Amino acid sequence: MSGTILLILRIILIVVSYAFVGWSIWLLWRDLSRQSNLLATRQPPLLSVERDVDGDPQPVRFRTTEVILGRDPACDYTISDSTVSARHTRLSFRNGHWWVEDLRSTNGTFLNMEAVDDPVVITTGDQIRCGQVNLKLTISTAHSDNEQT
Amino acid sequence: MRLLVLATLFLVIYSIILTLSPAARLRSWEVSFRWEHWAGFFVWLIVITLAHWQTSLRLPYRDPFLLPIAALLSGLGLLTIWRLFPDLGMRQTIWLGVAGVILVAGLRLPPDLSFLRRYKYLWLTAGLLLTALTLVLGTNPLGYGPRLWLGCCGFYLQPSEPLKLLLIVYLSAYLADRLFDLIATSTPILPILAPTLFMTGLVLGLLLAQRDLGTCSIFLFLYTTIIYITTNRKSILVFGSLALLLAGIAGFLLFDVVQIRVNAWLNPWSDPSGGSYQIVQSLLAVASGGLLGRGPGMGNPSLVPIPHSDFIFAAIAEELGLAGILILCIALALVANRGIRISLHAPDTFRRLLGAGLTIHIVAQSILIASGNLRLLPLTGVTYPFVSYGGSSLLTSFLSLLILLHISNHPDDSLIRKISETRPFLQLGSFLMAGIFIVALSTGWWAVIRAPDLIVRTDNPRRAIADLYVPRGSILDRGNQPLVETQGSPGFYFRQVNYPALSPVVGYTNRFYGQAGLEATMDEYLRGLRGNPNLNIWWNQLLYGQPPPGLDIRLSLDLRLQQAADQSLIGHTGALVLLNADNGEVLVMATSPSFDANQLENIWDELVGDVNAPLVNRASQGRYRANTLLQTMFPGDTNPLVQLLAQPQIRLDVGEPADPEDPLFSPLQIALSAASITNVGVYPAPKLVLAVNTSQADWVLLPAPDKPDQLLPGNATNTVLTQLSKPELGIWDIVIVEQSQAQNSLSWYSGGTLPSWDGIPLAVAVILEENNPDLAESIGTTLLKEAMLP
Repeated sequence: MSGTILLILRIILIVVSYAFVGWSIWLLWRDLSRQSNLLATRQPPLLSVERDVDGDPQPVRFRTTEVILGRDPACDYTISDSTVSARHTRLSFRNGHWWVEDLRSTNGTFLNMEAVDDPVVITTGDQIRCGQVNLKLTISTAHSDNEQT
Repeated sequence: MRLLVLATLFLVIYSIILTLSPAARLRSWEVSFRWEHWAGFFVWLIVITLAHWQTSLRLPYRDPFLLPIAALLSGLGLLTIWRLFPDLGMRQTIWLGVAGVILVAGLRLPPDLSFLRRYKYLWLTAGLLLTALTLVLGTNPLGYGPRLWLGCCGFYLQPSEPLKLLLIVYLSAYLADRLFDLIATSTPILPILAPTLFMTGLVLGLLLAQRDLGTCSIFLFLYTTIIYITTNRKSILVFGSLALLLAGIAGFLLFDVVQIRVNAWLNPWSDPSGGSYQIVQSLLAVASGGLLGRGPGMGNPSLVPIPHSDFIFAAIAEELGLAGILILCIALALVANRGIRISLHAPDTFRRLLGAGLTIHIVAQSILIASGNLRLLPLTGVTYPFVSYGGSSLLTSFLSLLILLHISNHPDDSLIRKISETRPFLQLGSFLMAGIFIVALSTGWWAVIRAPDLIVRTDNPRRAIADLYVPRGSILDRGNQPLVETQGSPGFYFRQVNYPALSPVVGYTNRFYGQAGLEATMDEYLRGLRGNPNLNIWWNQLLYGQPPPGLDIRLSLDLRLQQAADQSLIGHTGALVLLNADNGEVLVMATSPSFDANQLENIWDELVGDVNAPLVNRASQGRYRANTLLQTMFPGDTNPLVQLLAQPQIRLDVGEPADPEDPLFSPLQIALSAASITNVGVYPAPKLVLAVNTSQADWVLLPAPDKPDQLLPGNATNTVLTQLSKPELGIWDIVIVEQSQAQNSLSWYSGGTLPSWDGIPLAVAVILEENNPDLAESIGTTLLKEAMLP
């Protein structure tokens, strides 16, 4: 008799302990799916590129996930400078970050004075240099009206 | 919050079961229940409620899993310790209170933990000094063993536990400061690491001096992994593994302890009562836990040495089974998962490395000690974080928890901050998960697959303990007179041999000296594991972890004749077997000298040292020359020696078959040969155990293990019978003295009733290890006459 009662209690004990881990795992899973939903629906943070031309900053904002910089007018952001290659640099948004990538340009791309060999994550306020042209990058989540698509 | 409620519910049920457990052990409600562990439970409840309230107040964005998991682990550990040793449970409860207060107080610390980073050398030096102090002032609360503690006023602190924490703090602070030098691929890495190498070397040297080798290996592992996740250089792992291997080899060569541990790990079964006693007992505990465990308070985990600290994993495995161990493993996996996640989302490198280091520390140490308990790795004396007994360990675990909670407390954790490479963190996480998975698999291996082989091992003391709680079957003579029975009350059952002179035959079952005789060969019936319905056995095992009550067995022995025979052999060395020649039932099996199985504890050393070997049952295990005797009994071509070489089976240890080159025979074999003469050529199948008293079918006859055999043609015995018969007594007999160089002179007597006798046909063999044929003859004929009385 005592054994039977204790057996029932022991089974409840195991059920409770598995409820604990089961609940934990369910919470984890819910957390994960919520986050991936968030990531899937999230708009890429706005990237604005600003060229410092003789004290006349002209910020251009992008809402896309890829921005090509170069001398070619077909580029998303055209830089007319002889030291800039036709397709010079790619800025792209993936894994929740904006990345900068050199497109095998002649004069190279530099992030904060360092040569960009492999894709590198950029943060707001970073300076990149394409050839001899300095650009300031700003990343913001705030929406604004004067944007170019 | 719900997790904490579930953890509380878990501990409440655990406590209730523990309270009621004596009832199941003794199978009655008239017992004293266990209440003392509720004190531990309530302190736990207060500490956890307070900690939950305060953390949700002060760290609103903390990781939601860590506190409930820590609460579950520490609560389970605390109650397990209460269950094992209530006085240690009291101490652990106090420590839990202290740890809780420190946790709550630590919540007020600045969230960026800069005070840890800034004074890294100070912290580590303080830790080193404290540890160094143990070299001078060290004590051990047990009074022996490594002196790793600083003690005062009844409380002891083991400084090497917090030292681990301080080393992690130091390493993460230093590496975070020098991060940019480290990840630049061009700079040589060694000069930058030199200070950490020096400090870690100092710590290791100190621990080596203390012979705290388990902690040393944890440190080496910690150092390697922290450097690896900082630099992401594979070469670090190679160096680290090499260093660990070299340290292992050096330890093996330098320290006896390491040699013993490694040998016990490699060959645990070769010396199960010596060097590998701990590990074998630990595996037995895991095996006896099985799938569901014995239930809290119902197992015997205290059979494993130091079950509250080094072997708490085995103790939990025994009482909660594989199911409970899986909970531990999943909880640990959650800690690893959340820890790595916290560290990846940490706002700066220092906290990132610190979080990772603490996670590695908790998880790797748990894996290390669990693997030691399961024979996956050599045993190391490290504690199981949160679970094991030990104030320093508990305190360190709670401090780690506190720091991890602080690191996790920031609102936006949706993005991994790209400070350093994430891959090594994920690799590390996978490595820890793999370790946990292997621990779980290995527990399953020992607890389920290997368990049936392990729990029947004779060095498993649980069988002898079950005998204290479950009555063992009685051994009865053919007239149902109890020869051996179980007496006492549940919890105190003991075996009473009513007729001690039969001890060499019926044997003994003893906690310390094992089993012998019929107690050994009929163990399954006497223990209730055979003859009972399988469902009944399984149900009893499930409910009580014990076999059902044992079954009585009835022997063919006749107590009246047995007494007479034993009386006649007193003072001589020899043996005697009287058979029913027709059906082979053994009526008398006497051997001299004998012993008293009731006194085994007092006389064991004497018995083992006695040159006359009273423990041996000479009637079945004795080996004597009988060439002349057998040639007289079976003259000429009919000599049936070859058939006699086989050993008769009587559910009793009869020893090896005779060697054909130099055949020696037991009195039982000679009695059977005599029976084949009485029986006109038929060699009967001997029987000693007649029947077993099963619960549903009453007495069930057990068949003889052998078959009767027509040894001689019926007429072949006629000449012998004519020669040897004593018609006035109604018997035939023969007395021979065997001379040999190897043994002393032996006096054989063999005889039996004549075929014309219309009572029970009898056959007898008497051996005396002396030159005294007259005595042998008188013993034999007296017994035959006695047996022929109506």
